[in-house]
Amino acid sequence: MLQERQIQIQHPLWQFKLKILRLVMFISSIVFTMAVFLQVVARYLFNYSLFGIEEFASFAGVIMYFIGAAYATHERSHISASLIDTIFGEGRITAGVHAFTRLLAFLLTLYILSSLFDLFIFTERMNTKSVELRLPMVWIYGTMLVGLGLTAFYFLLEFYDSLRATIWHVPAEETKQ
Amino acid sequence: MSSLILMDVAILVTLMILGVPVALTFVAAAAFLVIFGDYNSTTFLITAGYSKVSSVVLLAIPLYILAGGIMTQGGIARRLLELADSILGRYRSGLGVVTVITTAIFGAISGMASSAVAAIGSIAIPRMVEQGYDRGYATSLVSCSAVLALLIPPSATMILYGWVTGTSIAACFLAPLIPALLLIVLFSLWNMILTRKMDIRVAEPVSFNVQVKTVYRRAREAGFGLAMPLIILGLIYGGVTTPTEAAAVAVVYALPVAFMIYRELTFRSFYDVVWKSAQVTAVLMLVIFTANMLARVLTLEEVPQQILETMLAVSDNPIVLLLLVNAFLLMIGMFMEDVSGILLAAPLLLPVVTEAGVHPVHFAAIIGTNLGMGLITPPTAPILYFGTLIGQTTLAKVVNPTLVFVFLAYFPVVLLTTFIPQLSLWLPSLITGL
Repeated sequence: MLQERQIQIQHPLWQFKLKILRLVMFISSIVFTMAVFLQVVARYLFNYSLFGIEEFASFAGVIMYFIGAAYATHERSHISASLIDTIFGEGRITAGVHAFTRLLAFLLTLYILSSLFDLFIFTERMNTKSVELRLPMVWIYGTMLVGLGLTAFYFLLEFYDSLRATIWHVPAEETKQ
Repeated sequence: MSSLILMDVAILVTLMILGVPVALTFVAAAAFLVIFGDYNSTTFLITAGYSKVSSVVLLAIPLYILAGGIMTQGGIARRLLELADSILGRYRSGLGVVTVITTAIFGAISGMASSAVAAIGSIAIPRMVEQGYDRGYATSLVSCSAVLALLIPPSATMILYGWVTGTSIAACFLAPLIPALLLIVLFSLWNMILTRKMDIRVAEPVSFNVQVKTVYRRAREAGFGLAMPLIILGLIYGGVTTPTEAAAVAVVYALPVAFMIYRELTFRSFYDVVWKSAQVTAVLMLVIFTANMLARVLTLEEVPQQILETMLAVSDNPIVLLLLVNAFLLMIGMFMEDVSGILLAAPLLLPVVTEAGVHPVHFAAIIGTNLGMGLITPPTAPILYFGTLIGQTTLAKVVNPTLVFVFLAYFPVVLLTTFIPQLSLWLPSLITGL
C-alpha cells in the first residue's frame, strides 16, 4: 500500500498538477505586484489613475490565496497550535488524534465548499459582475471553488496517511512528499 | 455571556489544542453558531470572508512578504549580521547584542517573526555557539528577538490591526516602535548579565583605522538592504504612497538589489521565492478569510457587547479593565499566532478598551506587545518551537533563558505600554498628527 502511494506521488500527472499550482501562484503574484506598481507609476509620474486596476490586482490576489492554500495543504504547512505532539510525542496516540483532526479539517472544508457552491450557483444565475471591470464573478468564485476543492482533497489524503500511521504503524512522513 | 457563546469558545480552544488548522477552527466555531442559531443560509459566511480578503489594503501583506523573501534570498541577513558584528562583535557578549539588533532590523525588512528566526538564526546561532555561547541560550535570544518583527514597521500585524479596526495604518506602524526599542535595550542588558558566566571568546582587537574601514565596507554592502524599510516608511509618511503601493515599490526595488548588486538571486531561485512567498501568504489569507466568517457571526450574535458587559460587571475601573484585557490577550497569544490573534481579539476587545479610555492607536501597541509575548510563552510558543528546529536544540534547554526574557523584559514592557499611553502615542502624534 505504501508503495502504491509513493508511486502515486511520483506519477508525472501528480507532479504536473503541483507544477501548475506553483505556476499559478507565481503568475498571480507577479500580476498583482505589477498592477499595484503600475498604478503608482501612472499616478505619480503621469498624474493618471488606471481605472479598475486595483480590482484587477485584488482578483489576482484572491486567485493566489486560494490556489496557494491548496498547495499549502499539500505541503502540510497550515498554521496549527497542537499541544498533542508536545505532550505525547510521536506514536499511535498522536497519529490517531492527527487522523481525527484531518478528518475534521476535511469535513469543515466541505462545509465552506458547500456554502461557496451555493453562492457560485446564485452568482451564475444572477450573472453578477464585478463593480469596476464588469468581470463575471463566477470566474473568481470558480477559482475559489477549485482552490478549496483541492484543499479538501489534500486534507483527505492526509487523513488517509494518518489513519494508516495509527492502524499499521506506517510513519506518516514516509508518504509525505 | 450566553451558554452558546461559551460552548463556542470551548469548541474553538479544544480544536486548537487538538491541532486542527487554526483557519478551520474558526470555521467550526462559525458553523456551530450558524447551526444552533437562527440562520437560513450560509452563503453570507463566504461573502463576509471574500469582501475582506479581496481588499486592496490587504495586498500589502503578500507584497511585504515577497519583498522580504527576495531580500532574504539575496543574502541580506548575512550582510546585516556582518555589519553589526564589525561594530560590536569585538566586545564580550557583543555578538548577543549584534544578534538582537540584526534580528530586529531583519524583522523590519521581512515583516515576519518566523523569517527572522530562519534567516538570522541559521547564521547567528552557529556563530554564537562557536564563540562559547550556550546553544539553548543562543536559540532563545534569536527567538525572543524575532518577535520584534511584529513591532517594528512595516509590520504585517499592524497592517491587519489597522485594517480590522479602521485605524490609520501609518499611525499603527509607529505605535509599538518605542516599546520595541525598550525591548531591544532590555534584551541587550539581560544578554550581558546572562552571558557573564559563559566562556566566551572574542576576536583579537584591531586598530581603530582597520575597524573603521571594515565597518564602512560592510555598511556599503548592507546599505541597499537597510535602505528598503527606510524607502517604504519614507513613501508612506511622506504622503507619496499608500502602504500597499509602498510594498509594491519595495518588491520592485528589491529585484535589482538581489539580482544585480548582491548577485545572489538567479531566475530559478526568483521563481521559487515568489511561489514560496505566495504559499506563506495563502496560509495567512485563509486564516483571515475564515476569521472574518467567524467575526461576522460573532457580530450578529452581539458578542463584542456581551464581552463588554461581562468585563464591566467585573469592574468599571480602567486599570482593572486593562489588566483583564492584558490577561485575555496573553491567553490568546499563547494559543494563536499573531495574525489569528489580531483578527479575533481586536474587534472583540476594542469596545472594552475604548470604554476604559484607550485610544485605538494605543491599543495597537498593547495588542502587538501582548501577542508578541504570547508567541514565545509556553505551552504553544510557536516561534520558540520553530527556533528550536533552527537552533537544533530542545525546548528544555531554551525555556530558562526564555522565561528571563519574558518576565524581566517583555512583561515590564507590556505593562509600561499599557499604562503609559505616551510611549505609543507620542511618535504617531508627532509624525501623523493623529
